[in-house]
Amino acid sequence: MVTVLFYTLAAITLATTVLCLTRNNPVHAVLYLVQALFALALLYFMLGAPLLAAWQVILYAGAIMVLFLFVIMLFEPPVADKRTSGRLTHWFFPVMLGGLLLACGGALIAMDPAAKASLSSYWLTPRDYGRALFERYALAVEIISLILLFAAVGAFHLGRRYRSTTKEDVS
Amino acid sequence: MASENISTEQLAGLDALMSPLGWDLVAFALYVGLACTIVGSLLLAARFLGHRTRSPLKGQPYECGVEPSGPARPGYPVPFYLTAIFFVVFDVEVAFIASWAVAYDLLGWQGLAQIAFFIITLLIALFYLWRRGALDWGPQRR
Amino acid sequence: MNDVLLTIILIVIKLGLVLGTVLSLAAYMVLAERKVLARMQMRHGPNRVGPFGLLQPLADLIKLLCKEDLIPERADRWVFMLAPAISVGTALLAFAVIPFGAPLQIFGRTIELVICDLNIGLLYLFALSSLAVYGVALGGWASQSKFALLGGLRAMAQMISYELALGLAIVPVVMASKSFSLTAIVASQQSLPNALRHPLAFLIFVIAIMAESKRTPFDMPEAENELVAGYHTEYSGMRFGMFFVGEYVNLIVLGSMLTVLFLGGWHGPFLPSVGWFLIKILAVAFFFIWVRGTVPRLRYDQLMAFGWKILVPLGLLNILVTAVWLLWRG
Repeated sequence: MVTVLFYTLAAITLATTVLCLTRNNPVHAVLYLVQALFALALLYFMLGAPLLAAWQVILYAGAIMVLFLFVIMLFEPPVADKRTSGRLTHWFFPVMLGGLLLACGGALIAMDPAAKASLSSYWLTPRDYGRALFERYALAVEIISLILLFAAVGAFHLGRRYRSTTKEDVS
Repeated sequence: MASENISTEQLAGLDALMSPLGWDLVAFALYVGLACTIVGSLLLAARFLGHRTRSPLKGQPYECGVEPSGPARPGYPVPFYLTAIFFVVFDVEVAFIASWAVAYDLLGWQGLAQIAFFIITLLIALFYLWRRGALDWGPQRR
Repeated sequence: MNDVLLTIILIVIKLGLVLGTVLSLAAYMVLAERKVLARMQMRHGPNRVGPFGLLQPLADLIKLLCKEDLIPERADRWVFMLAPAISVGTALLAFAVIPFGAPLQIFGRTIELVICDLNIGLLYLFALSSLAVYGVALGGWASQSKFALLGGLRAMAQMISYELALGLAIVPVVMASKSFSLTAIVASQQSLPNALRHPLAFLIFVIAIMAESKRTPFDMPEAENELVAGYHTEYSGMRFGMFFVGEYVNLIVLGSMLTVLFLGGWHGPFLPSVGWFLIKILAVAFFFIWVRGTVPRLRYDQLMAFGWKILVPLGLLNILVTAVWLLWRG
């Protein structure tokens, strides 16, 4: 049961990622990628790491994808969306994949008891996670803080150079 | 939490189904399904109940009654996207802080020292951005 | 087998009660807001449909359902349809983890008054509030209208900025309960609500959730005198209704979050726990309506500067001070 679920979720992840790569419309691509990230988060949850699943959704779907969406909304060249002919195919895949995702979630939850027992023995509580992160990987965490510092400063300087070449504009 | 210490024996047989986490998750799945159904059926109902007439004027985007001018997405050169980048950076920071906070008593003073370094590094980043004017959204100061 | 059946029946009853209460409360929250605002402006508010206008929500629902359902010509159709559903869905799903009462003892079995006590419940709420950005952003993008796009962009920038403050404000709560489970968080406030224990975090949280919900002092994304209606300019009928209902469901979500995280949850003397929970939610909702009736809209640059230059550094410093204090006391 667990194996079946695992492979179904993995297949969804792959399928949505492929769809994300093949979309013409960047926003549709982002939406498929978000679905892929949800499937990944469910996988993490299934493997007994709920905290990681939560961060996956919050950081990837909630922050990084929002950044993508931002950039697309700001810089997308004005294309006339005239490709409304394939309406059925537009609807078919997202609905099917979303349904499959929900079904997997449901099945994961109504899983047979024996499988749950073997899973719950690997259940990593948030407290364990925090402890392991700051005891075993203490140095990595501090290095990450420096990387984030550089990222913020670097992004600002790259962005500012862009801004200084354009006229000050509406906000 | 009861849900955090489920041993294998406790989960054998029918008792397993009665385990608090198991039933909680069943309820959760049911709730998600039900909520989606309600939203979906309301939208579907509106589709069937609402009358529709089509006309080219109705299909136009609203621009205060005058003819729409220019494309809807002219590519605004707004410094908005920098906000999103800073948000990603600081959201990662929140993730680390929260992971530390849930186990702060186990980590003790050493953990506090680590997180203090972490927070202060990012405070430096924040103040640098502040001083350089990255956090100003109004007309630019000179 | 009987036992399993009973458990399932109990779950279904619980689900029905929660969803029914939330949706009808949301409908009446619309009426309450109109009434309270009207009274604050020396008007009467809706009073024609039913006694004291009590049937107004029903009339509104019928009207919205029967309205014409317009989709702009060049809109991205399926994203356009998806956006309002995301908006109301993220708000509704929040109630899956909110504990609304003390455990009940019936027929010798304990019934937890929460749908699902996830051990990452708090982060689940946080994730939902970060996903709520999608409804607004996609709605603004898909409409192919300038006002909608600008509104969507503003909403995105505002929501993500204040989400940061929100995330920082919940850290002291997590430290007090040493858990992300909302049940544990309520249990940790038995003697003293977190609002008194962590007043600064409470203040930051209140401001941040007001901005997250785009309510009046922070309603730049839909400022009618600049942006017509922001991201939902092009929406009509039930799709607009979804954004609208989503906003009021969100109001209840915020009330519940504030109650659970800072106001001691269902703890309180004399009254039954569910009663206390409802009273606290309604009090918070009234407070938000009151603020809407009192405070004028901020300017956009002031709003962003306030979030980044005041709330975020304050939140970070608050965490450090709280940690030192808690460790010092041991």
